[in-house]
Amino acid sequence: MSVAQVEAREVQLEAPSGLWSDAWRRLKHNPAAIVGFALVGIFLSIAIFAPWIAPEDPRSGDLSRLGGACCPGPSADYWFGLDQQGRDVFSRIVYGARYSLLIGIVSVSVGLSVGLVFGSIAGYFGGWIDSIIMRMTDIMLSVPGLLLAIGIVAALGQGLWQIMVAVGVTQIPIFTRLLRGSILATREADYVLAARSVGVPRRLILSAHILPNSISPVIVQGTLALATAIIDVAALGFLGLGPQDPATPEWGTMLTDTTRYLQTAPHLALIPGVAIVISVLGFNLIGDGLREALDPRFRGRG
Amino acid sequence: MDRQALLSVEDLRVEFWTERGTIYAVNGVSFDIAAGETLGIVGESGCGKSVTSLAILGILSRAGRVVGGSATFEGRDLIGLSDDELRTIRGKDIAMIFQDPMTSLNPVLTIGRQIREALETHFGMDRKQANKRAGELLDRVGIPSANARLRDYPHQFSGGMRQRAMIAMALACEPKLIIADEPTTALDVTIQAQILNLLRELVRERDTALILITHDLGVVAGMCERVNVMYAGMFMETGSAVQVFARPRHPYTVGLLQSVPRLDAVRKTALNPIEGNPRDMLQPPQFCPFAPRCRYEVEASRQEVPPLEQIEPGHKVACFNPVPAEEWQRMKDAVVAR
Amino acid sequence: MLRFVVRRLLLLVPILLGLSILVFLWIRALPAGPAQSLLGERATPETIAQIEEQYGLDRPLHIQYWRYLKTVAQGDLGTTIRTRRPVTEEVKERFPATIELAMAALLFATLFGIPLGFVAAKRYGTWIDHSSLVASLIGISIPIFFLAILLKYVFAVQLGWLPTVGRISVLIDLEHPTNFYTLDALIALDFVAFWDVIKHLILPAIALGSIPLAVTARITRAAVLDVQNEDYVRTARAKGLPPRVVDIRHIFRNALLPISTIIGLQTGLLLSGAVLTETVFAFPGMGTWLVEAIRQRDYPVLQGGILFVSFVFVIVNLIVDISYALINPRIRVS
Repeated sequence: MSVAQVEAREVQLEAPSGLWSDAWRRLKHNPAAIVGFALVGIFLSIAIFAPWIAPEDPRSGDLSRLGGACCPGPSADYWFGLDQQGRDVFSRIVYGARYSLLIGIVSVSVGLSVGLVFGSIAGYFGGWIDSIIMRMTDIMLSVPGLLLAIGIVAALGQGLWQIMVAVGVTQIPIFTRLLRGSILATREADYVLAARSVGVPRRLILSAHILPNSISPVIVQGTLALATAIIDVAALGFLGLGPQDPATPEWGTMLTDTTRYLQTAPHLALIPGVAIVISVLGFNLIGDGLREALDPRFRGRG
Repeated sequence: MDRQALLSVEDLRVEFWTERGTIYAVNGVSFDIAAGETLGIVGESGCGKSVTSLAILGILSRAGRVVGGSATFEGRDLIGLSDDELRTIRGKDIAMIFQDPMTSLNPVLTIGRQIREALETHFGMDRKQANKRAGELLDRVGIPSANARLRDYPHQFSGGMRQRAMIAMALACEPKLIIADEPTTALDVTIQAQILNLLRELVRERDTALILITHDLGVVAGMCERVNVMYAGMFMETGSAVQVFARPRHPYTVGLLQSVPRLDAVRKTALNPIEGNPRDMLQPPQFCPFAPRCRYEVEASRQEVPPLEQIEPGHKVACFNPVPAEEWQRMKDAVVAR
Repeated sequence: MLRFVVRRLLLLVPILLGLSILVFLWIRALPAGPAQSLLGERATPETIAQIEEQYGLDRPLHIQYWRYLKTVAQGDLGTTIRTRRPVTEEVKERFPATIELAMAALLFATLFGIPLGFVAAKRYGTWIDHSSLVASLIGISIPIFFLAILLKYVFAVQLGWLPTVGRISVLIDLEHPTNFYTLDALIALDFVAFWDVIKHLILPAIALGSIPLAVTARITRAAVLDVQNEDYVRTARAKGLPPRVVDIRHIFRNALLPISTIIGLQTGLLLSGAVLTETVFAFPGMGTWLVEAIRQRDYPVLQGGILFVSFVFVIVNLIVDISYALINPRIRVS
């Protein structure tokens, strides 16, 4: 067998691996990530099929069912019990999943889109544009997260859309910094330098080299940001800044004023809280698994 | 060999367990070294030379395991010893010098502190005594204003000075054996020579045994009495420096020597790399590991692993079809000829 | 080192200025208009005119800003609508409470987080490690306000071991020279009061510190894992040093650098989270103050409160940066 043939055979024996297929393979073997996918899957199904799952309209309640006292806990008729207005908590939780999904998507979209634009501009052009954008990011970050959101809500007024936008805005600096850092790092990377030195056109460098490598941290951060958004909006809802109509089945809002009932009707506080924890946990598990799966350090080394 | 062997390694085998499979890093390595001797272990990156020394001292990474063989030092087999027992030998009787002095020194501790550590641990010296000794050591390795520099941090030293500091650290407890793993690879060429000279002086002064691990043939030629050539976790050829450099018998050794461009070669001479790629270490060797890249291979080369056998006194080769003794000289002459 | 500190201090100025501009613009963006917002319901045409005169609301924007900056620099953050007291006075009462809570939470987080992370790293791959990872993921998935509710429910309502609300029992009479109740109790040598204050701090501190705890544990684990593969750890082992020395002097000392950075970054989370925790436990700090202010549209409080807290936040970040430079010889000595 000639050396050339041996070499060809040796090269063939090494399995081809791109960044994505490698990552997917590792993700599949990560038990925590699998649990995460399962949880998120359940969450999404509940959100999408809410009208078919929930036995009642989440907004209408029948005070007569309360029997004078607040509030009946979980029973055979009402799986999660009833709330102060006689509404079925189970139905509210199910529809609440829709709200949480909406919240997550809107907030992250706001933060991601604006952050991507500013971050890319800052990273790609550098110079004084970069400095200005970075200063503005710093200023936004100098107000602690929730307080910034509160401030925005104060200016916009209270309501569901307002708190979604407020939380989205608080996420802008994070994505801006992330993408800028990513682009800067890849721009200066040796392999980009190598590509330029052999004359690869700028456009191609951007699409084939810089962008794919910058995207993975954004995907990881996006997933984690989804989890944070759900929690933050729930927090604002809990503070009473959310939807003005208390009938709205948003999980955070459902927790407002439930501390009074801890002695007599703990299910009012505990159940929405657990719902939040489980959904957020799912996204965090996935985000975490993605981060490990996409980490280039662990990529195949024979 | 007239002197008693200080360290005697016999059929050492080391494996690494990774998620891709088992890596057979060291596959039956045997050698001796006596007090005052300098032995060179030469080979490409990844051939297992560093792993050998780490295995002897018991400081392999988590994934590594010694799966066979022995390493007898002053009558005790290091392979079987517990970590506690090995610690009394590490740094005291056997010391190591590593390749990259920037990453091998703790960035948040002063140089003086790092030298004192070994003294305090092994000799129970107090701070004053240890400081004094550390200053003496730094001075001996050629660092000016040694005592003042004890208070400096590694990042305040230049590359060459850091390596000198590492040598001082290794010498602190007057070890009987020093293992230097690529001590000059990370340094500039001009500094390399200085460091090697320093090492040579020091081991001569103290009659210390020195194992010099490197991929650089030039370093070995200048420093070592004996040379072992390593490939794919095994020795391919062992002998005195003169024997191995003047009359290399293993095709790999010849290939290594040939691949070094010569200043006195005729201008249009092509470069002679060794063809092929380094061996895949995920398989245990079942036949001659160099066979796929070898011009001299014969049928037996693909059937079993050639044993290391004596070909002249003090000179051993692991090959079923060794290169004729005068071949290398002939090749050199051909290249220089007009 | 000195140059580093000076440079960081200089960077502070544009940020603080930018902050003041942000808050300034924010007031003018409020739906009711700045004058109305600052006066609340007691606004009459006369008082509105008065405010407009005082703040020069008819003047060009940059003149308004200059005046605003001057007032703030003099320490005047306005007057609250609800109690008609200077904002700064209420800050002096409320802020120490939040600081005390935040520090208790931070103490809790580091005291438990660092050892947990260290042990998890040392036992990499075992069930201890895996469960610590799962636990910290669950930890960051629990909203602070929900954890606060849970803790309150279990320990205060059901078990009755700890108090449900407030900073100190109404039965205790204590002087408040510093407004830090723990210090006040110690100064007065009143150990009964001291213990009472601590009891009131425990549950809120655990709730508030839960996320920093989870993050600290993870970061410690990651840092230790990284560091223990470094070459200098191998050198330390090769020198024959005992494992404990290697762990503490070589591994931990170096892991401390990224760990301290992360701990510094937790302050923002602590300040935000305080708002939620205080609400659940009716803890009279900045958090409850600001929440009430929103509900009652007390904009002077909001404006002064947010400005003050952000200011402190920026200063704390600066201190964290400088501390990091102090413990990292590469920056300290060059």
